[in-house]
Amino acid sequence: MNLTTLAGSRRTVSGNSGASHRRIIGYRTREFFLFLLPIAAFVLIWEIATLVAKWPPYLLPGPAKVAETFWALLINGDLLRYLRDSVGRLMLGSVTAFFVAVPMGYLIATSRFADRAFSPLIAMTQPIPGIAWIPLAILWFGLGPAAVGFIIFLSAFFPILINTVAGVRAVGKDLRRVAQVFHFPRRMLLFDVMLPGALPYIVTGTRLGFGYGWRALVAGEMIAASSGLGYMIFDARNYLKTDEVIVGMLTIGLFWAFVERVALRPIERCTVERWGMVTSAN
Amino acid sequence: MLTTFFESRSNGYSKQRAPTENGGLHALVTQIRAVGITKIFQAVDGSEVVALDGLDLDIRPGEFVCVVGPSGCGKSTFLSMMAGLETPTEGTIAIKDTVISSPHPDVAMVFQEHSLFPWKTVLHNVAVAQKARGMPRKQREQRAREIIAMAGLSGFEDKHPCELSGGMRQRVGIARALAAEPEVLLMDEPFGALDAQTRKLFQEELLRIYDQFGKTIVFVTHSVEEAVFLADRVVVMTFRPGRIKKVFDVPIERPRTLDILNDEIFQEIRTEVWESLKEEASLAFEALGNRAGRCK
Repeated sequence: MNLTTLAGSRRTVSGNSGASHRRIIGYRTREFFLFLLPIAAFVLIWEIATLVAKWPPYLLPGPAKVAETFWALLINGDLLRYLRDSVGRLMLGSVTAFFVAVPMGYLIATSRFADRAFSPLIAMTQPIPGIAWIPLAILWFGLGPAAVGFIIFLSAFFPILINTVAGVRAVGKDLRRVAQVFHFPRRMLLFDVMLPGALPYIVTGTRLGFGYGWRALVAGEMIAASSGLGYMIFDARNYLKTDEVIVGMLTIGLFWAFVERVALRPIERCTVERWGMVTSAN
Repeated sequence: MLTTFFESRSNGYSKQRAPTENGGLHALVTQIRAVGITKIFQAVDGSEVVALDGLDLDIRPGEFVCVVGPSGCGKSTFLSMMAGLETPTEGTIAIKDTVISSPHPDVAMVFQEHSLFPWKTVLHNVAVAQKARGMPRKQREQRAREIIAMAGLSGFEDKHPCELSGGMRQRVGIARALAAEPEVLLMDEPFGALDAQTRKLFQEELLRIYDQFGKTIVFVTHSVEEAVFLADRVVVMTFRPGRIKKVFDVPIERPRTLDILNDEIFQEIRTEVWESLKEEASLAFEALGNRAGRCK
């Protein structure tokens, strides 16, 4: 009580609306610089290093050259076409993984039998990196989108599965008791209690899964595709076009940072966080 | 807001208050009958713990019964059995002459705090019971709105539980149970998480609901004062194994307000109940009070 009045009176003494307005802008500006400064510093050091050391461009081109190539590839459409192909494969593999992993995770979490039956298999399959499947994938599906999709599927599948299992198990006993007392039918138990209760974990698992899928995609495309960002990097290396390699890497990083910010975070914000449920860090 | 809770309600609920004298067991229908309830748990080290040992209890329609006992006496377990959420190792529980093995449709429960669905708004939380019964959306939301209004929660229909205070959440919990239109309301320490003053106001409010609706209420609590203030009968339980030690009648007239806390008769009964409970509480204190905690 005392503190509020104190703060209140101080505001009337020292702060007019202009001052507080300026303070908000100050905060934003500071945030912006905190965001920009490390990137600018990195680019600057890179530029200076290439200027001073005079490495041949196939070892490390300067940022100006990379930016130029980036622009050129953007204009001629190569970059966007590769990005489109990559994202298409990512969606094919990851979305399939999502729709297989969530029901299977639910089954494992709710049925002791399914848990016993699947757990050893999962424990054995999960540590095998998606890339290790590339030879088999090529033998089974040939070079092309199906092989890459398969590798993405495997990479995205386990994080989603394991988080779904944990999430369904984490649904409070008290909430299940509520469902029992009020005689929730099966459908309602699933859609009104278990799935929303597990959602924080499912969202985390999906973020992880899609992220792993995205990383696996690049590896898969290097070997089993003739388009996409992974292919672009691999192909550029063959011709010692190091600037293109870096453009490909940058695109992979930038695109995913963008997806996290624009698609995945807001999903979390308007569900899990709005309900006051615990979420993972960041 | 507090004083308007359920005051305006005058529908078809008739009050079937049984006399508090203990003479007419055979003449009256029992609402809940527990016979020889025994519950044996397997402890972590494999030994058997007798949580409840041969409980017999008859509860009349429209009666308000409070169960008090020390921690670990199995009073919450007993309540869960009446809710059909747990089964006794021996003995039976009958709701209106039907022996139950799963939740009975005429019984609703108010849980300890945080049993609201965090992803549902107040409106949808209150409407769950009717949704489960397949009532059409419009109709059940209409009913939920009425009950929300009576619970003094108007304007909060579209809020999520995390946006409410502890007291308001519990109000939603009670509204949810009432929306199910049960005959029996089971309450498991519903006010345990509230501060002392809010708790008193909630007790008064609950009595108003009780007088209005005439439900049968079984209420589990730690607090002797709360029990005597609310109940027609107070059941004192022993510490492990849980048995019924003594049943006290509370012949204080209704409607009761917080003013009766100063009445001589109230204080007399409270002292008697506490005398009976004291022994058990110190037994529990010795057994559990200085035992090291265990992480799950």
